[in-house]
Amino acid sequence: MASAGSGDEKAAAAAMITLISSDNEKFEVTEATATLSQTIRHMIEDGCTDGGVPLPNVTSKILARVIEYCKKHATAAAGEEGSSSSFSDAAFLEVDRAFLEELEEFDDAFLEVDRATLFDLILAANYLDIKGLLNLTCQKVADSVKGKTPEQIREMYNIVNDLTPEEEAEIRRETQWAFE
Amino acid sequence: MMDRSQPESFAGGDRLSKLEDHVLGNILSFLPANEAARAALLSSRWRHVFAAVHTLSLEEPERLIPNPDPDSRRYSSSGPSPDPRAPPPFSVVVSAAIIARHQRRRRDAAPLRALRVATETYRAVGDSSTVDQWVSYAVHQAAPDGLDLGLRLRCRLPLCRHPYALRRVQYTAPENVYGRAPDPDMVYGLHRRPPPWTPGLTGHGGHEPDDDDNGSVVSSDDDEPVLKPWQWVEPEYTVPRLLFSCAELRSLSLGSCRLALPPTFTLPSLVILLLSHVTDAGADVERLVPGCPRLADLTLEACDAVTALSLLGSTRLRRLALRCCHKLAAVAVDSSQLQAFEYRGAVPDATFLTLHGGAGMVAYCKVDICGAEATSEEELTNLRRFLQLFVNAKHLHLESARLGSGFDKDVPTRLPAFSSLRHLEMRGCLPDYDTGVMDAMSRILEHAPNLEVLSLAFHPQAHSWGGRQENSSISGEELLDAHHLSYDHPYSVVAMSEAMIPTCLKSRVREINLVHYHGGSVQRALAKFLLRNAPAVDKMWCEFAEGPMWTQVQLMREIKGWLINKSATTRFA
Repeated sequence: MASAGSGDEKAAAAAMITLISSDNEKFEVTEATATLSQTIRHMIEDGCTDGGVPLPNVTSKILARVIEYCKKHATAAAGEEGSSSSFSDAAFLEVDRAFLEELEEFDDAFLEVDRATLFDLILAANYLDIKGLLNLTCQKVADSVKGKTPEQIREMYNIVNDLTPEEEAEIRRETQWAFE
Repeated sequence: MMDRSQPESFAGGDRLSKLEDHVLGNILSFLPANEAARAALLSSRWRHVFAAVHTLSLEEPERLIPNPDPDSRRYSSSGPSPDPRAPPPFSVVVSAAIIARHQRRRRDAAPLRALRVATETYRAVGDSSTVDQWVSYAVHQAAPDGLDLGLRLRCRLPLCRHPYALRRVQYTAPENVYGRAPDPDMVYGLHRRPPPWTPGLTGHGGHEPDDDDNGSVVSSDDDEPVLKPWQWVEPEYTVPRLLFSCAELRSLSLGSCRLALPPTFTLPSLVILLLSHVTDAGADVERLVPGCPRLADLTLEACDAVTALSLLGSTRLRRLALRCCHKLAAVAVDSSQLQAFEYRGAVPDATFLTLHGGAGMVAYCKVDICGAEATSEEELTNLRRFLQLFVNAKHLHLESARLGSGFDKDVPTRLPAFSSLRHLEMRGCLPDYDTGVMDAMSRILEHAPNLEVLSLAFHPQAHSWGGRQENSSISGEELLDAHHLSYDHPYSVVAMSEAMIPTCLKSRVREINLVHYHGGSVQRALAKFLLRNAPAVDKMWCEFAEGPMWTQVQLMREIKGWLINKSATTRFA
């Protein structure tokens, strides 16, 4: 179940990288897939991926999902200029609408996870430095709080309000522009 | 999208607040700046997270409600309001948002990835030095991996003064658009008719509007000095020069500004450029090209001073959009990398677009004919010639006042065969008297032998006509009520035309999408024609126009009944 699997035939000749999850499961992926992670890209550049890349912060369950994301998006990134920009994937150009739509559908389906998994994905994306995935997951959180009052957001995410009424008043004063 | 999570108390408490600052900043960057700043109230953890926000998006809220009362000739300006509780000028909000990132003095604010400001009127901003400060701030705080700057100084300015207009068989001009019920069937859109021209609007006075050829349809004479917000004489903002030496600038979107390009400049990282209502001449826009070696995506909107454009130096251009540049008569593009092309305007004539490098790569093409429906033989011929340029398109998007406008008639120039076409998207009004749409649709589909996806989006249709067509094929039943949705007796559908059933429909088309379907008799006849003859459809998506649930249910049942493949995935909204 952990194999890199199909979809990467083209890159079959390319170097494979072994990723090792916190629970010691091994995942073999192509370099193109792995280098969506800036963290792994740097490790490859430094030549320290022999014998596999241990990822002690990522469980096999989450790593499998991250790899699923990277595989899908590696194809998109391949079409882009080699530069690793802060802009997510190729999505800003209408290069191939059909493919972008497919990618969007994939992303939507990918995000249908419970909240605990969503946070695990955010942490993994942050640790592995995968901008597209980090933005995707962060945006999901942003969408969930959009238009909500602080009280609603606290309730939604179990945030404990430890501000004194004086501090609250001060914040309101400082950021009055945001409350108009 | 379901959230199957358990209540958070069972799922690990407050995991959100435990995320690193820059991750929280990233989350808040997806929100409008004021909402992002309000997160400071959540808890002490969040108090200074705004400094980690890398994207500031601010759009001036709509405050002035246009008053249709003909006696009020002018809107009150957005000058200082006597009400002390009135919100501060928007420029103050923008500047405050910028400063707020730096409130935590001990630490620097995150590098800025994007600053997007949209104001209703530049006049509301006050003076150019304020805007200069924003631009200067963005340039100096730009993230090394790219800055996205958006500056729209009159964000609610309509794209053009040519709203879609249907040609009616018998047409009588309305006398007073605002005083009594207009003939909504004639013109609809953001405004009921093109507003009268106000000289000096954009600072290049002397130019008259180019109200081309549609005087016969849309009356443009108006004696009433009613000034719409887009007619206010506005001072013009000129972008500061330092912008043109910003090495990090990756995406630039300017609305209602003047570029005033310096003699030499370089924007080595600029990939995406959008100019809307920019008053520089075509020669200046052309000069941008050699200075932006990475430019891949160029959009020009309503740039009335651009009359000719040569983009031959830009070999990396992958997307070009020209919307409502009504004075633009000739464009030459190096199309060797061009993959997407978008056009909105009047029907372009045969010499409008020259593609150096062929059109082989253009996979996406959108042609949107604004203003009055094209009907003359010359226009229809030109439209087909224009489309011939994009014969290799995989995705074609056609929009016009009337859906399929112009394809129901024979003209000497034939449509090319779009053998690569997989997705056809058509938008426009489909009024109930328009029985020609069957012929138009058959004809287009006949030229798309490999089509797989067909999307039809119906422009909203006025429900109260000035006068019902005599030659209408509607079986006598009236459209109901004030909503757009209707469901007459199923048998009121106009008789199936004898049109040949296109081959792609019979074998290839696997997905049909209907957007803003309101169940007018011609729409239903068209939907029936398509669905009844498309056995391969395994995906059907339909978004209804607003209306009562029971009507939607009726229409949904009817559509499901037409589907040949009963196991097709359907989605109704």
